Parts: sequence; C-alpha cells; structure tokens
Amino acid sequence: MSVMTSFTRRSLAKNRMRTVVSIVGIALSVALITAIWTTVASLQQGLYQRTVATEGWWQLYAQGATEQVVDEFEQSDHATDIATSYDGGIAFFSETERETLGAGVIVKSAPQTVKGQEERGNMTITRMPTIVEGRAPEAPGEVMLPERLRGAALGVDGGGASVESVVALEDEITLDVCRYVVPDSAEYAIVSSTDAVQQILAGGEVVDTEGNPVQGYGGMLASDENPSEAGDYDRVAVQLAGRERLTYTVVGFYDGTGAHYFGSDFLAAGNGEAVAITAPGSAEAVGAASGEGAEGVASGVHLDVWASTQGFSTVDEIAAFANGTSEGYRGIPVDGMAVYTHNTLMRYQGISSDSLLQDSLTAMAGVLALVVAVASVSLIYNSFSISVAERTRQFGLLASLGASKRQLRRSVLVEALMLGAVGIPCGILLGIGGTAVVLKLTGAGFSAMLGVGEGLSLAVEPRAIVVSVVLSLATLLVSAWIPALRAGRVSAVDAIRQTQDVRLSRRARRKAERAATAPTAEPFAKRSDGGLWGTLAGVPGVIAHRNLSRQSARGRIVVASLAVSVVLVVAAGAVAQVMDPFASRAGSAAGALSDADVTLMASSSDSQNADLSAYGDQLDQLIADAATLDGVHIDGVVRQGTIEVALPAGMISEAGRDAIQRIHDLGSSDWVPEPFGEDGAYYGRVDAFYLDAESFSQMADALGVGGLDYADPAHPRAIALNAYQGVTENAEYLQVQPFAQTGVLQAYCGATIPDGYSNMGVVEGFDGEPALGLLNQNSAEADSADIERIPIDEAARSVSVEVTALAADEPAIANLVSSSRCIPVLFFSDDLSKAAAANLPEDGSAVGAAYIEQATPFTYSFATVALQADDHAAATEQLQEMASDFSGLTVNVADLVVDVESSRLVVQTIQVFILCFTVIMALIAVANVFNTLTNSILLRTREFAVLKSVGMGDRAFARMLVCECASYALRGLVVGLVASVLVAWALYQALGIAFEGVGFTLPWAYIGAAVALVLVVLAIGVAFALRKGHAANVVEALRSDAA
Amino acid sequence: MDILTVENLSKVYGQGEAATRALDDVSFSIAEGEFCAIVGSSGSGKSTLLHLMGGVDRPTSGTVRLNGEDIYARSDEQLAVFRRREVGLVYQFYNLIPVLNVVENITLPVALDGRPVNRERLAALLRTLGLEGRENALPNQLSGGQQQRVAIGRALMNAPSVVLADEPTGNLDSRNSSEIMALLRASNKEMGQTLVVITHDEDIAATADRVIAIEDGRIARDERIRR
Repeated sequence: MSVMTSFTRRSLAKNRMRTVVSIVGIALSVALITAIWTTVASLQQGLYQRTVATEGWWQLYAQGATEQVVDEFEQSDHATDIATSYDGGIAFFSETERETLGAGVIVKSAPQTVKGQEERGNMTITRMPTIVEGRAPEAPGEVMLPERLRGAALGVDGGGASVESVVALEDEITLDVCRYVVPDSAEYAIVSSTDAVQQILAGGEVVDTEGNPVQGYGGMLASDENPSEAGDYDRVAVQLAGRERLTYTVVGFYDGTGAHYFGSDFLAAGNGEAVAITAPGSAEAVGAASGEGAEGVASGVHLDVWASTQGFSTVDEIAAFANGTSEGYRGIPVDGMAVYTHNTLMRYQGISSDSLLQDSLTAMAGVLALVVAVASVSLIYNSFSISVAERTRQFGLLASLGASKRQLRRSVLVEALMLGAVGIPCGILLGIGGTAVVLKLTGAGFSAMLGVGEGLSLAVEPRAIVVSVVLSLATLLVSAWIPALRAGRVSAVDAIRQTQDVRLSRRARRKAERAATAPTAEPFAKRSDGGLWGTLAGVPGVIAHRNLSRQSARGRIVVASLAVSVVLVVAAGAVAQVMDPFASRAGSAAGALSDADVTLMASSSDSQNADLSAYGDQLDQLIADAATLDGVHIDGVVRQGTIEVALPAGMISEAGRDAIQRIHDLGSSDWVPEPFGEDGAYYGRVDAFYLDAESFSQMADALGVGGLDYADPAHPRAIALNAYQGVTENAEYLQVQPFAQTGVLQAYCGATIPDGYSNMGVVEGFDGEPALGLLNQNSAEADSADIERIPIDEAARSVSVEVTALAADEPAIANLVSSSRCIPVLFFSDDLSKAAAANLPEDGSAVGAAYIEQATPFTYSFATVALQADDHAAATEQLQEMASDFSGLTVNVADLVVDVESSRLVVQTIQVFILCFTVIMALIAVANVFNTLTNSILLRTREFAVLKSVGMGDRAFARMLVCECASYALRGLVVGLVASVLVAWALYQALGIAFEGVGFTLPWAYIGAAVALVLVVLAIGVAFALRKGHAANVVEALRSDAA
Repeated sequence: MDILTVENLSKVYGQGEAATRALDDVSFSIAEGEFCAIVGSSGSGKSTLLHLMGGVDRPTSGTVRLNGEDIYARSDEQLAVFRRREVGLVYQFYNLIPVLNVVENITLPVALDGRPVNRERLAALLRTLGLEGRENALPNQLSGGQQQRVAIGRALMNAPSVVLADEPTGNLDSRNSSEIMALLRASNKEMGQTLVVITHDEDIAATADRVIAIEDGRIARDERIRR
C-alpha cells in the first residue's frame, strides 16, 4: 500500500461520520438505480413468461406460406428457430351442424421444428392446446380433435365431415377437404369471409367484380405491424377448390377453449373453425403429396411458419424481413400469405414497437433516471468537495513534504474508489434485496394484474447491474475529479498559512470597497449592511449575514443539496400522481365502487332477438325471486341499451368532441360516416342505462333534479354522464368530460330497414339534417361504401329527450357495468322503459328487431343486478340454479368478492411501489442534506470556538446558526420548488404522450412533505452544530491549532 | 491588590485509564497591573491554565476568582458575558473570524455585548496597532503580524482588566514579535491592565514582573523579578 493510499485510508477512518454518510449516500443511489432496473427486468421477464406461456415464443408467424418461403427462412441467419405446420384445407359442416359447431374442420399438422430449438423452458414456439383425453397424433392417419366435437354425430345431414355414429376415441372420421388454390391475384375478387362462406355453403355462387364465379373462403387478415387499426387490414381472399376425401383415426381430444387471436397460438390460425391436428411432418400428414404444384408447394396445401429471429431491433425490420423487402432477396411477396408479428412478446424482449404507452413510460423513466443521477452526483460531489476543503491544510502539509500534485489528486480518487468499493456492492445488494422483498410483498397483486402464476419472480439482469455499477462509478469519479484537481492546486504555503477560502463574489467585493471609502460606517450596524438577518437577529444575524455573503460557495453547496432533496421528494410525488389513474382504473373496475357481493347479468337467450326488454316480465320475475332468498339483498338493477340520437352541438364539450372523433378515427373504416355533422351536432348512438327507480331518484336528488317525472314515455327525461375513461386502440388513455351543458336531444325509433340494406343508424344527411343511413350490401366494397341517406323524419319516429343534469361520476350501481367506459351515456329511470314497453303495439310488430327498428327507443339488451349476500358463494350457487328456470334469459352470476379482492391487490401493488420509491428518494434527500450540512458545520468547529472564546453566548450562537440555516432553507426551497415544478411538468409531458385529458396538478402533499423534510433536516443540523459548538469542545478546537 | 486568584485548580482530560491530569492542584494569585509570564515545556499544562483563567474551559476542581468573584459560579451564558467584558484572549494562531473584516473582528466582543462602539477608542487602537487603512480588509488579506495585531485589538477593545495571551509571538518573526510585545507591554503599563503571557521566549520572560514555571501540571517555580 502506498503512503498516499494509507494516508487516505486513515483519514477516512478518522472522519468516520462523513465516511459513513458518504457510503450510505453512494449505497442508496446505487440501490435505487439497481432497484429500478431490477424491477423493470423482473416485470419484463414476468410479462415475457406470461406471453410465452399463453401464446408461445414465436416472433414471426407467416400464414399461407410456401415451401420456398420456408427454405429461404431456413437459409437466413436471421431466422434462428423455425417450426412449420401444413394446412390441408377445410371440410365444411352441414348447415345444421354449423349452428353449434362452427364453419367446419381445418386439417393441420402439428408444428414440426425444422431449424433451431424445439422448446424453450418447456414451451414450444407456438402454444399447443392441452390434451384432455387420449394422446397426441404420432403417425400419419391419426388426428386430434377439439373437445367440443366429442360425441357429436357428424355427417347425418350431409356436410364435409362424417363419422360412423358419434365422434369418439379410436373411431374414424372422414373429412371431405376443400384444398386451397393459390390464386392469381389478377383473377380473384375480395370477399368478406362469413358472407361468402355462407353463400358457398348455401349452394349459392359468389361472383367477382367482373361477374365470374368465385369459390371463395377468405377473410380479413392483418398483415401490417399494427393489426388493430382498421385502415390497415389487407383483405386477402383464398380460394378453395377440389374437394378431397381424407380419413383419420381419432386418437385424442384437446381443450379448444380460450382466446385465440391474431395468431396468438396454434389454434388461432382460422376464424374459429374446429382444427383437426394431425401428426407433425410433411404434407403427407394432411393427405397431400409434397413437391407438386406451383412453386414447389404441395398442391392445394398451405404452410404455416413460426419463427424466432435474431439481429433485428425493431418490429418493422422483422415484418420487413418476413415480407422479403428488407434485403430484397425474395422479391415478390407470396400471394395470400399473411404475416403476423408477435408484438406483445417483442415488447418484453426489448424490441421496440410503436406503443404510445411504452413511449410514455420510457420518457417518464428517463426523467426519473435524470433526477436520480443529478441527486447522486450532488450527494457524492458535495461529500468530496467538503472532504477536500477540510483537508486543504493537510494537502499543503503533504505538498510541503514533497507529495506531487499527481499524488494528491490520486489520493482523492483513491478515496472515491475506496468509498465506492464499499458503497456500490452494498447498494447493489440493497437494491436487489429490496426489490425481492417488494416483489414478494406484492406477489398477489402482480398475479392479479398479470392473470397468471404467483406474481413475479426476481429477475437479476446482469446487464442492469453492470449499468448500475458503471453509472455509479462514473458518478463517483466525476464527483471526485473536480475536488481532486482543486486538491492538486493547493499551494503548500497557502495551506500552511491556513488562509481560509474566503473568496468574495464580485458583488460582495464591490460592496466591501464602497464600505472602505466610508470608514465612518458603524461596524455591525443592523440596517446598513447587516442584511435581512442583521435586522431580524442583531449582531448574530449580522455575523450570519457575513457568513452567507462572504462564504457563498459553501452556502451554495448546502442550498443545492436542499434543492435537490426538494426535487427528489416532489418527483416522487409526481410519479405517485402519474400512477394514480392506473391505480384508480384498477380500483374502479368490476364494480369495486359498489357494495355488491354478487352480480347477476342477464341477456336474451333468443339468438334471433337480442332485445331483452321483450323478456322484461321474466327478468322482473327473476329479480323478485332473487329478493326472496335468505340473506340476499338487492342493491340495484341497471339495464343497458342503445338509442340512436341526434345531439345538439352545444351540449357536447370540446374534449368530448375530440375523444369521440378520435375513437371514431381509430376504430372505423374510412367509409363509415363521421360522428359529427357540419354544424357540430352528434349523430349516432348513445348508451342508455336504466337504473332501478330507487337508485335513479337518489342520483337525481343528489344532483338537485329530483321530483320530476322521469317515467313518461311522451316526455322522457334523462341525466347525462359527464365522465369518460377509456383506452383507444393505440393504447392512448382518454379521460374527458364529454358534455358541455344540459339540453334536449332527439331519440329515434320505428325505422324500417329495406332488404339488401344494413342499418347505419342516424347519420348526417346530404342536407345537413339528420338522416337514416342505409348501407347497400350489394355494392359493399373494401374501401368505399354506397350509403343511402333518408331524411330521418320520413324514416323513423322521434321523441325529444330532456337532459336535466350532468353527473360528474357514475353512480355506484352503474359502476358495475362501467358506464364510464362508454361515450356518450344517458341515465334513465327503468320506470321509463317499463312504461314504454307497456305502450307497445298489440301485434308485437317492430319488437325483436334491431334497436332503431324498435317501437320505442327505450329498450335494453342487458341487465345487471347487484346483490349483497351474507354468504356470497352460496348465493352465487342459488342464483345460478334459480336462473336456469327462465327460458328466455341467459344469466351469468358472478361472485364479485373475488374480483374486487384482485383489483384491490393491483391497487395495493402500485401503491407499494410508489411508497418504496418515495421512501428511497426521501432517504437520498436526507442523506444529501445531512451530509452537506454536518460537514460544513464540522469545518467550522474552530471558528465557532473562537466566537465563543471572545464571548459569544450560547443564545447568540444559536441565533446565528438559525439565521444561516433559515437562509439556506429559504433559498433551497425556492430553487428546489422551481426545479420541482419543471420536473413535474416534464413528467406530465411524458405522461401526455399516452394519456389524454389528464390535468396538470402539482403534488401538493408531497411539496408539503418536502418543505417539512427540509425544515426537519435543518433543525437537526442546527442541533448538531450547537452540540459541536458547546463549551466542552471549545478548548479542544482551539488547541487543535495545528490540525 | 490581587486581581486574579487561582485556588487548588485541577483539570483532568479523559476518563479512567486514559485520564490525563493537565493541571494538578495549582494555586497562585496575580496582582492588578502585574505582567506575568508563564513558562513551561509543551504539555506542561500552561495553555490549560490560561484557558481556565480566561473562562473558556471549566475546571475539574478548584476556583478562579477575578476581583474576588468565582467566575465558574456563573452560568454558561454569564460566562460568555464575562469573556467579552473582563478578559482579552490572544492566541498564537490569531483565530480571527475569516468572514469578518478588521474592524468587525476588533469590535466583535463589543457588538456581542450589544454596546455601541467607542469610535475614539477604535480609532486610537487602529492607530496604535498600525492598522489604519486596512479597516475593511479580510483576515486572509493580511500578513501574520497584522493578523496578530487585529487579534490584540480584539482583546483590548473592551478594555478588559486582564489580558491573557497564549504564545502571541510564537508564529512571528523577531521584528513582529518585538512590536507585538511592545504593544502588549504598553497597554499593560499605560492602562494598568493585568497581562498574563504564555511564552517559550526567554527574552520575553525576562521582561516580565513575574515568571511562573509549570511542569507536569504543577507550579515548579514562581519568581518575582525585581528591577
């Protein structure tokens, strides 16, 4: 160990207080950075694992590919793992079978790995369904079917699939499969799937635009990287031809339920058809010979390819690779091939996609990282600059003994490394340990949030730790470097003469010069130049003022560290505020705002008639019956329907207009009529919620509009919900107040929709007046539409609805159905719908048709009943049994206690994270201020001793310190609060990337906490200084002349 | 007449085995107007004695009386008043307040006492100390000799009855040393102030009325020099 190193080590040991505070500061900063990274890594890993478990780990899925495509994938270094499946076509069910079983049976071979790994962590590249009976097919001629086909008698009345008696294990199934024809793109027409299939199966013909017959089976396939945007659908038609008979032995049944969408798993390939899974392998598995047909593909057979890739950093690159456009080696994309990219998975793999939410979170993390970095630098820099200043004399002494500047500089850097050597590992352990504890505590919340497993397991990302270490080390070295330079500059003579660093600022010097020309000035004059503190506190105040103005460098460090602390605490508050909408959304879901234990949801069981009001009698009877159950109390009933309206422009707020327009733009094709007319009026649907009479009158009374008749169908009245919270299709969070004021709107009903047309509801007519929009089905094309507009007064009857009030919040009962997720929303009394139903025409005409064709606008399709039960589990069971007696109703009984518990856990998880973040931020802040303050006091021990020895009493001494600290506090708070507002604003801007309509407010509670924190720490500082300056220490300080 | 009486004064630093007896049962008294030099090797306890006489420290046992009053019977706050009114302390390392200028440093004890500054006395002091024209200089703008003169000015400003100096010339060259001593002697002679000086300098000790030698915390020699 060199002399300098040993010297450094000893001085660290001697100044134990400062060393410990520095190490604690370093450890806290490292811990926070590590914790942030580890949490993000754990979260990503948890989400990644969930995605892999539910959807597989494919990044790229090409549906309808050719063997050539597969060959090229295989040859590319970019594709690491590839699995293929052969799609042999579809055997259509008979018409009666289709009603319950879907369109038909698609024959697909189980995926076979042709390159790379077969499994990762027990998961195949695309998720395969769970086998519930039997086994997976192994040999050609064996097949596995979805469980819903078990016991079905297929082929009784024709259809492409047939069995001897019913579908059973070890029995044979015969499939007349329609093979695919890879169409010449010039010759096929684009058809919409269901209609075409229906017509083919009905024996009808589909013709293309030139009148040529087309046997089509196709659909809307998303090929773009953002499959959810309506405008980006590629409508691809795949023709089917040449039925071929295949016979298989059924060896197993699998669970075919669950969500399958956009290629999310193996079963998601089709449009909900049953999939007959054959043994993995070549085209033979689906009964076709390979190597024939165009492009070397087995004739009439498609290939599905799943692949994971390497060497790409964005989703676009991967999509481009699959489409063959990135390098141009494949030339023309394959007709009929649809490429899906696994965006959810890749998001967690760190492959960027254009998610606004992601951008917003990244931006917010960036702001926070900056704040933490600034705090760390401030903390460590202060510690070092004070340490060096304190030892100026020592350095001078060492210099006079022959220590070179380099040696002195190195001594400071060695000190930094020594502190880092202890602080950084402690911080990393603390960060990882802390994250582990928090994840453990919040495990239940995360499993509620993610919907799987036992929460998150700790993922220690080595890269994250390296980044934390490098970041902390860099901070340390930068913080040490500047004081080290200063240490090297100390001249031996200066240091030994111990001229302390009183460097006057230009202003102070000028002031001193001016004073010099006026020597008659009274020294310590309170008002002349004693500053504010002199005026307030007399001579001690003047001395404090001198300290503050003539030692401003020292003061600046304290002020800066105070300001940083304020920023840290307020930033934590801003984060808490940002997380609040997440927490409140999670907290308000699933009726958490209502007191209900159990809910009963009813809809019409008639597949031809979705109008539940037609079965209103049965519903009322069920509710009455439910009320008779022991220990069950009915909280309320809410019935939900839709009304076509024209809403005057003046009733809609700007924010509401913007939100509705945005939802329309993102969710509707271009040919769908605009929601707003030229004059700004809204034409379209409103969601109507009919509350039980008691709930409704409570709501009306609370809004001061009770006592009116809300049940008169001739003069209907409603209350509008002036709140909307929703997420748009590109993950943008909207929170708006859609209404501007009350008023009268027109509701429409009784329209007749001619054959060959579909109902577009109320739209703006050509004359700017409301009209009934009718879509001509025969001319429907992909990107345009022939919409006829009939003046609404000719087409339908209208009734004026008076909106008596705007409700800022949804009532608790409506929270059950989350009315605030709809826009616009009207609340009615269900007495109105009952009265309207009583006035229906005797012949029952216009009942059971679509909503605008109804005899009254005040109908409903769903009803939710909120119940309180002493025993929620038992009540759920009893209600389920009771509901089965009502043939007209489909009833779903839900045990809310379980759901509410899980939303509560989610909220709790978010809050635990905010709390931990705040606590660590506050700890860093305290360490920082305490470090700076105590050090600057330690440095002045001798000065304090002199003041005491010339007769400064304890009270005067205390007053001087209080003045100084008060000045630090004021300046620190002012600077800190200004900086905090900027940080809060930056966070708000980051939030604004994804969240619309969230107002900018400052976290006042946290600002208060920051102020309190500053004051408490300063009070501790004063107490510390008073103890240091106490008589017992005076002699020692005076005696330590040489030290 | 004795102005300062030290009776059975002891001071122990530390506790238990680490305890050091810096002063061990010292008794003596100093007459008004006397110039007393205290000599002794390092660590003999002379600085401790001076601090105790100046009311800066508190003794382990024994009393210090100024004009018959036991100064350590006072509270801390009253002791601070005592320090600024009754004694003037001069240290080897000047111990000026770095942020206060010359005038502010000199008038600090008066200001702390809340009394108006006697402008004539200040002007006379500045003249005597040769600090005219440097009134607004900060300590780090002054030479060592000048800084020590400021420290003396601070000690004399309140016209204390006793001036205590701890090696006031220990850090200065011989020319500055003799100037400083001349200043102290002058105030001793002209204003009748009692002067106690700790020194290593045989020449300074030789000019004193009385020399007290301290060894191991005890008085080894106490001789009055007759002239």
